[in-house]
Amino acid sequence: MSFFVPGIVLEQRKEPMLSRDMVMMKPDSLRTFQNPFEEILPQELRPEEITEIARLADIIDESDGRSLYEELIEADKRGVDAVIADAIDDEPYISSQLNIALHEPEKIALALELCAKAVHADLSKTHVAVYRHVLDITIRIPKKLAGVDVMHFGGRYPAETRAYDKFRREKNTLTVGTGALLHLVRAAEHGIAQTSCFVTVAGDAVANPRNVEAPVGTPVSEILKYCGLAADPEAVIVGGSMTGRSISDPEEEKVGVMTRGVLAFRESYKSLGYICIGCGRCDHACPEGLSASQLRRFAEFGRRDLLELYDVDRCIGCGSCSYVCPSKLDIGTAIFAAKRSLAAEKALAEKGGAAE
Amino acid sequence: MKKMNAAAASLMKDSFRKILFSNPVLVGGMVVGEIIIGATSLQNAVALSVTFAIVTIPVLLLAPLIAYFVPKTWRILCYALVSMSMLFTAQAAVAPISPTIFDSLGIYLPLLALNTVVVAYSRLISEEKGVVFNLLDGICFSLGFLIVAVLIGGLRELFGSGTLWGYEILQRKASALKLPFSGFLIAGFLAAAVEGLRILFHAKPYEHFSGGKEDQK
Amino acid sequence: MNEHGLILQNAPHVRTSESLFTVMTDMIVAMAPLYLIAWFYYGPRALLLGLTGAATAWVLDLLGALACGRRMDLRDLSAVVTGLLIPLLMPASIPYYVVVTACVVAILAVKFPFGGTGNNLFNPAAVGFAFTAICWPELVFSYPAPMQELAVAGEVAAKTIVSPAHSLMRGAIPSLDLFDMILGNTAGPMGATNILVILACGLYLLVRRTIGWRTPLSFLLVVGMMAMAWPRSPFGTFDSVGWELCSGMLLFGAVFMMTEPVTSPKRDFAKLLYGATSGAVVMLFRYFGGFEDGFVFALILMNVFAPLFDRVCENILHQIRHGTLLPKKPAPGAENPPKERKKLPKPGLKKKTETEVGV
Repeated sequence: MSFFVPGIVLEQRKEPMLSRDMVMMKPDSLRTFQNPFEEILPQELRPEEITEIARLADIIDESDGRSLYEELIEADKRGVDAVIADAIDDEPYISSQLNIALHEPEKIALALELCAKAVHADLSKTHVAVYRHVLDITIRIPKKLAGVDVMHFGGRYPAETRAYDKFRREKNTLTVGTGALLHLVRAAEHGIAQTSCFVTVAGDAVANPRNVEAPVGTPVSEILKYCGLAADPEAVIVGGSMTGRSISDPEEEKVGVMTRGVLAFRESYKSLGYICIGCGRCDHACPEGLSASQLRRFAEFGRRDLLELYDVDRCIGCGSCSYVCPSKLDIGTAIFAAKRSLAAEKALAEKGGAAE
Repeated sequence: MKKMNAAAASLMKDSFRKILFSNPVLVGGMVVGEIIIGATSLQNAVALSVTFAIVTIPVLLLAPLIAYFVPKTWRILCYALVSMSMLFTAQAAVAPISPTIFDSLGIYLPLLALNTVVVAYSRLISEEKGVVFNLLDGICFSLGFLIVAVLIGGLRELFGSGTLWGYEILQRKASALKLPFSGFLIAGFLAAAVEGLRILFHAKPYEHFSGGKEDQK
Repeated sequence: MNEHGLILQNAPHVRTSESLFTVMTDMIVAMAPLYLIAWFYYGPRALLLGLTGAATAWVLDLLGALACGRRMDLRDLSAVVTGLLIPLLMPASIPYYVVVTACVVAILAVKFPFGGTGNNLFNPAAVGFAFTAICWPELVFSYPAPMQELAVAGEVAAKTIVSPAHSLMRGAIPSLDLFDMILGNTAGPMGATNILVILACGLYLLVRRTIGWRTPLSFLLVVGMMAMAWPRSPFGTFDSVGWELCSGMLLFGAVFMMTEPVTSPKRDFAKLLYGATSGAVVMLFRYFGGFEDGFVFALILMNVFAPLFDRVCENILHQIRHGTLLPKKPAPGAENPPKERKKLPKPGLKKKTETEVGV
């Protein structure tokens, strides 16, 4: 099935980070909050109490950045059938969500139970969603994690976008990231508020690549020092490997809840720059079926009319085109930037027109 | 007196430019077809240049006069009439070059009577200028045309037929050079060379050919 | 690099291990067996011709880069690939100056004036070969008999035999059987006779994803169908297909020259159309053309039309995406919405937009 869906097959490169346990960088930085329900066992909490705990513990869902409390309230209002734990890590190296699901399955199962209760959803329909494409045989994911069914997503990158599209189409689901779920369980069991985030530290310049739980606001340099650098990196990236941001000052940059990974590479691909030879691999890789090579050229010359004709507004910024380019051109960046500037111009024009 | 000298000096400089840096063929893009397809040998090149001179200069000289008497719509017809009537003289002048000159040039010789300078340039520019300017224009254009035609024709004849003005020089020849596509390629390279020279000497192109490049060095 | 020694790069930060260098070296590796086979059949002259072509092309590329004021990228081997392709299209007894002329034309007239690598309008090897075919047809199309050691330098006095393509052009049956032709024991262009090796090289390139399968497949299918429908020789249809596919530089061109990334269309469906149309055009050149194998001329002609196929495909996709392929039935009572037909706009004023690239 996934053969016919466009996209690229990426080597996941999640080992050895996935097999190693998540390690807590600063255990004593955890802070507790005044938990009015600390006497009650988590399984016996009532729905309102669960949402109250989520609010008091300041839990933020790392898959979309919203507060878990708001998500639960809103999901309860619209009525959901199933709660799904988002453990989809479709970018290479990144395994911060999947690691939690595989190493702490009981806690995740409990958290899902609590969420289901909070939004009055059907407990039998809860799932853990994971991603593993068919060529990646080193990752072992069981069919059930502590009694919860595992929903398998296969196919090519970008799979997370596709999964979210699917969830949105079936409107009666609530997706929560595994990090937020872990924090919810900790809050319910021990009254610990969320002060940390889960980050994958990887790359060929890192000596001990693993998943790390770091306090929010830790500088990137500290995290890299914690895991050790095997060589001086040429590029340090904060975020995902396909969608992350390259940083210039590791001491200034700090990690946040939405940070999925910190990657340090020995060689930057920028030193390999070539020119476009029109091979068309980017066109083939685009999951939206756009003509990436042409769009890049139009973006370079600022041809607004042709950019619109070739549907630049459908670009989702996945970076598949840049990935497959043998000349290592930044195709995706150029196209997505063009899309954003065109949208901004249109918005400005409309505002100007409306003002008159 | 000084003003006239300054004007004359700038006129001379302008005209000098027209030979090379504002070459009508390579920079102005005029009369391209006849030169490139017709100039396959040195004899052809000279014939074409002579015809061009004889046919175009009278038109340029008469342009202000015709513009004075004839309404706009009919002017080009009059220019064409003038150039066509000079065609006989041109053919007579060209005939002694070689007995087969008309066969080898085919239609490109008479076609020169309707070249771009006669049809467009005279209408746009020559009408408004004086006789002296037009005369210098004509002479410089003809010289520029001659240079380009001789270069293209000479190269193509030397390497394409192994001869030069009919005398055998080379043994090996690449006969594909006589085909039009090679002519276009050679003209392209020559145009690039002229542009390179222009940049080297910091010369400015003639404003009607510059295409906005006047401020560029 | 800033004071921390970090380079800023754009996402994605993981890239495929393919690079321009690997693509070009794949092509060179795929051509190596052909040169070895040519060495086996014709002696070391074949290798020297290849070396001449490659060296000339590389030197000219360097000169071209200098003339443009650029430093030449040493990993850019596309000129070397062109230089190696050209001798394979010619007979092994060809004089060296013909190969040099072809390379000169290919690099100086096709690649360099239009912008260098990635900007050539036509396949450079095809134009170089076409130029020499027009200049010296008697040299370029007279093939020596295989299994004779040719003189390395100087004039070559070789026994030439009629090639199968020539026989087909005259309407006769080639004097060899198909098995000999597959093994390359015939007269023909140096690299294009050994069908088996070409197929193996083609398979290698397919697996390495250097070339796509759509263009060669549609091309060969259409050629086969036309050969079956209108055989040139007065013999069976299946034999005709075999002879057409194995004679001249057809298979070699399908694998190495039609798939050149710069001049062929980018869209999958456009590639199929392009291959099919090229097949038809090549067969027409064979039926009605003057040379015994007009493949290069057909290729140059189709290179001109390649972007057209891309445009057609893009238009179709655009209409599918916006749902204007089939007219929508308006809801009862609703206004009839105007059909969203976007015509290709005329090139308007170029406006520069600020893009965030170029970190």
